[in-house]
Amino acid sequence: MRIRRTEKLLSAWADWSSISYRKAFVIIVVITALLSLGYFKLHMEMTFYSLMPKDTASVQDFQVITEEFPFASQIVVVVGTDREADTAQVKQTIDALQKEFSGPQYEQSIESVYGKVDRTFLQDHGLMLMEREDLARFSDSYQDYNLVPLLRSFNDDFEREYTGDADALEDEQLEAVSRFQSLEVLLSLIDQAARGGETDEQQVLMTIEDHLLGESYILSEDGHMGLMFILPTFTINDFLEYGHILEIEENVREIAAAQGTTAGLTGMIVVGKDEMVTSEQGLGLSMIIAFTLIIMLMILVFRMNSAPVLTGLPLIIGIIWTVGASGLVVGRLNIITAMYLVALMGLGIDYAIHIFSTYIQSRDEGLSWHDGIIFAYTTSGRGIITGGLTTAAAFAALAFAESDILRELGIVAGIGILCEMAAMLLMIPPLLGRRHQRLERKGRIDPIHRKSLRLRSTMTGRIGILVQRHPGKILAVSLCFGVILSLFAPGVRIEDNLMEMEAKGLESIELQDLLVEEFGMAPDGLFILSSDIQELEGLEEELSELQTVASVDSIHSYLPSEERQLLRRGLITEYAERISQRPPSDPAIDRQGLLDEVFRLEMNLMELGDMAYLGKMERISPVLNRITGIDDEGSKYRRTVFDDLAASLLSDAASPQLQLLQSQVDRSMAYLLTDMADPQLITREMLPDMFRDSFVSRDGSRYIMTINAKENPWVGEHREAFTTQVGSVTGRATGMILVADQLTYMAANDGIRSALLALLIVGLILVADFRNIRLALLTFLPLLLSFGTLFGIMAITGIRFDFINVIAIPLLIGIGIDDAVHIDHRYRKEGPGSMDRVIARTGTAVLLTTITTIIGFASFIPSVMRAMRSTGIVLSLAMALAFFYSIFLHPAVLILVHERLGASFASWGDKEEES
Amino acid sequence: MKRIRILVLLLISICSAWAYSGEAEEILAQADEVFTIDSLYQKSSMEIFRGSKAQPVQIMESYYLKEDGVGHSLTVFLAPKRMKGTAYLTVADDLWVRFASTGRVRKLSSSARENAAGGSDFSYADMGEGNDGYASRVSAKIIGSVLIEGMECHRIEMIPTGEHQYEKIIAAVTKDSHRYLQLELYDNGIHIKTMHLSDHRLVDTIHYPFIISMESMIGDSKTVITTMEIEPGSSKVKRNLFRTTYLKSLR
Repeated sequence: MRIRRTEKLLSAWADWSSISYRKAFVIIVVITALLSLGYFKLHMEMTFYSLMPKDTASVQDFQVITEEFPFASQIVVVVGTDREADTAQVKQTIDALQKEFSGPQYEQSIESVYGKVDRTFLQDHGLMLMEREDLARFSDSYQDYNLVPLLRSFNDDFEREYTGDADALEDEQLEAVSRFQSLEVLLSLIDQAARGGETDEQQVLMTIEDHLLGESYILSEDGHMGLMFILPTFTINDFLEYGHILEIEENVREIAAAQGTTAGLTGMIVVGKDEMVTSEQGLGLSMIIAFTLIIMLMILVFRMNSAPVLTGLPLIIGIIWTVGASGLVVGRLNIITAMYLVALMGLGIDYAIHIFSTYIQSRDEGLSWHDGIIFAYTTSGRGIITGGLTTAAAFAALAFAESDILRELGIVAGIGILCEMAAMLLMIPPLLGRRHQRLERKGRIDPIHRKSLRLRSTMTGRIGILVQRHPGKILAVSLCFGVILSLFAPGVRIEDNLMEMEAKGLESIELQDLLVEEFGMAPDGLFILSSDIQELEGLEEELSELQTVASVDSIHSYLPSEERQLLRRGLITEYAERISQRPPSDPAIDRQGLLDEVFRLEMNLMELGDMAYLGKMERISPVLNRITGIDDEGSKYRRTVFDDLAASLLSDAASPQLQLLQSQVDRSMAYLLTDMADPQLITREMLPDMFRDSFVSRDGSRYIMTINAKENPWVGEHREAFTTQVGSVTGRATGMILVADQLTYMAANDGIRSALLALLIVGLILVADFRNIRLALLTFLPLLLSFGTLFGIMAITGIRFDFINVIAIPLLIGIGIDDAVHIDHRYRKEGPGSMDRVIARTGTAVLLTTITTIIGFASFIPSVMRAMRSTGIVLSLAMALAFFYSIFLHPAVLILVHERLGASFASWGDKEEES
Repeated sequence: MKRIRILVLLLISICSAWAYSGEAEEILAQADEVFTIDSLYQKSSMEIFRGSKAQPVQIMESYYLKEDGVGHSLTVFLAPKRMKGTAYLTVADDLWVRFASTGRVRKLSSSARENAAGGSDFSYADMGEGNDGYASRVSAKIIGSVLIEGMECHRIEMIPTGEHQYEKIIAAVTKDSHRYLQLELYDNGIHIKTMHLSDHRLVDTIHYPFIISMESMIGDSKTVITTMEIEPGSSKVKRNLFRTTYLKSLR
């Protein structure tokens, strides 16, 4: 009874709305107006944190970091030269870039530019920034600035360092490299003076500055690369502003080229921009081709120039309803649900194809346009509704997923399918009615009558005959094909590295790897927000101990808590006293003593070189090898500053220049150390902009701590270890890599769980629709085989599931079932022995929907972005498999079960009537 | 009546847990036999893999002596050329190193025992750990079974009772011959390394693993130590080897 009511209702609407199309349009306008109310409730959240679980402290913190901390959206400029080039060239390029991008022409897009560390701050507060034990050691070492005691203090320090902890050397490789390099320069100055050459006081001061304060430019250990940071006025969430990055990129390259260097950009915001650019690359042309092909197909098959309008208008109205209804139900669209709206167009068009196919076939068989519409609705309407409900249910099952993002996708997608189906069913009859009444008014003949092309594809006709004649063979072959490939299905894997989903060879991602290799900077880490510096100090101590943590950067390195500063102040005041009372510069130099210390220093550096070689410290080892002249084989391969200095000091010639150098070193050390030993407490206001922008929120209320991973955290297993260990210390860490976890979880767990639920719901709908459990179960067979085959092919070819292509699962459930459902309905209508006709007619519509869907999805394949490409391949493959099993295997099964084995496909109600 | 039944059940479960724990300790004690040799000479190679890249092979000679309950060990590198003559001496918790390039001997702090030995995935403590065995320093219980290389193994969870570099170790010990095949090492809540012991060969009365590898679970690295020669109770092991004066005299 219920079935008849549905058909009656559909035919009544087709009848009335095609004649009274104006009234029907009014109804549609009213529905559109009502649903449009949802637009007032809707907000777009095109942000990365919209993908993370809602309302958790971690997401809220990440949002604050993104919006309130300028460095979260930094653009990292990597400047490079070939290895032979002078470091000066890199420094000049950084200076030129800093000058350019600090100009007023970039006011709109750039907030600040940092090319160098502010050494003035380090010079003014250097000792206050040292840990208490380091401070005690430092003040013991630097008491006497005459050359012999100074070198002795260096030696004592080195020996203390490596006897303590080899890992400390590894952790601070960059700092150590800078210290070794400045030491080498100081030794060459001593050699120059020992040979009678005059040394420049300014150069001495700079060398001591490098030694005490480190390099101001951020350089790789061999100096052939350098970094600069640009802070844009927009954040990573402001997609529309990404155009500025392109402009910056172009100018950076131009300036670097003029300086004889090369330069590129990286940082999360640049990766985001590259994602946007590359996801469009290669897609433009293929999408235009796909769109044109679909339009041509519609015009050709439906023999109406207006076919694109007749199908396109309901399609657009369906999208409008979807967005409005989503606003009312969910309240927001995120990146994933917004992307889905594009896929919805491909799904919505399928309903139009089914209606038009039956309509055109009815016209070919001599029915009038009005009767044709009613026939199309009576014949295909129920199939469309069942198909729409199953697809919507498949998506709606996602509403029970654990992750918010998949839940929202399920709701929006389910709403979308229902809206599209409703828009098509409601709008096509009045649109066709209007068209025919206009044609009649103008006295023109419907072009359908003028064409001889019949909408009964020769291909599906042949398939129909084949299946009708050899159902057993077809079943055996297709079953073998499916089962064999399904055996490989357990081998399908989940992609847990988001960077593997990006385009291959993307410069911003390659530069991230370079940052790890050359600068020891991990591409992404975790962040902790706090308004309490003391808390961060405590966390830093615990986090630094973790095996998966490479380093921890926090404000307390530049703004220690007041408590710690007060503890240090006493030592600093005492040391400042000692500087003022230091022994005067010795007019004589103990050459033998100097020689002994130089030998000792050489041995210390050689031993450190051994440790660096043994510990595979790839940044420090080559530097120490070069300074000591010892290669990886342990053989001496070059003359070093030690050899030159030993030769100079062993000669008898007295050099007054050595005394001059000694007094220059004394003055430089005293000048710098007096500054560094300022006992004044550091306040937030004293921080240089670079540190403030790095660690303090814009309103000054919060501080950020960055935890850098030892291994690339985008790799799933590394990320899991890293986040678990950090989680054992604090549950407050947040960051982009947690988005990756969320997305991987979604692909791995939620996808599968929701698919099972979807199958259950779809099963119930089929049982309710067919009121025949046997037929409902058989309808699942093509779907299950499609899944098995798809997973098997993916496992064999190495295509992995990711959070984008996982959408194939609900799509396959929805569409895969649809194809078989349409065959079922037509077969039950036409009766036994009619499978050739069923496939020839319904199969044509199914073929058309499959072709249009595949054309749409295949247009992703030329994309350079690997995620888009795999989505295109997986979805096209899924649709092709669903078609294959629905058109070959499923009809064969129906024939065998119904016609050969005599099993009934009648509904419960009909059986009762029969009995 | 119901309360009595619950108490009986509780008692049974406590007793069976205790029995399981006792059994685990017995198994470990037998498995530890391989490590409880009083005097040993060994020549072995160590290969470190970072990602797919193999580092130069390190060849070393090790001497071990247990005297008055105190473990002494000396490891001298023979290759690669850069490392030839580098040596590590361990006496109980003290560690010294001799540098090949300068011939000087330095004492490392006790915390350095947890550092990577020779840039490998083994820490100095891992290297020396085996010499004392596990049974006496952990509380253990059997937590299940596992099949490794076709051999049925007990999975035994070991929680160190005193200070230890790991918070938990899960060992796989063969059910028939009580040999260690695998040790999963946990720290700060995660599985950080796995030690695999294979190619067991009969040396005197003990089945000794000739290949011991350590695989990092948090990075792409693995270290494989292959025994080339082994002599339990060797005459090469002399008391004077374990003194810093001997280290200094090495050439």
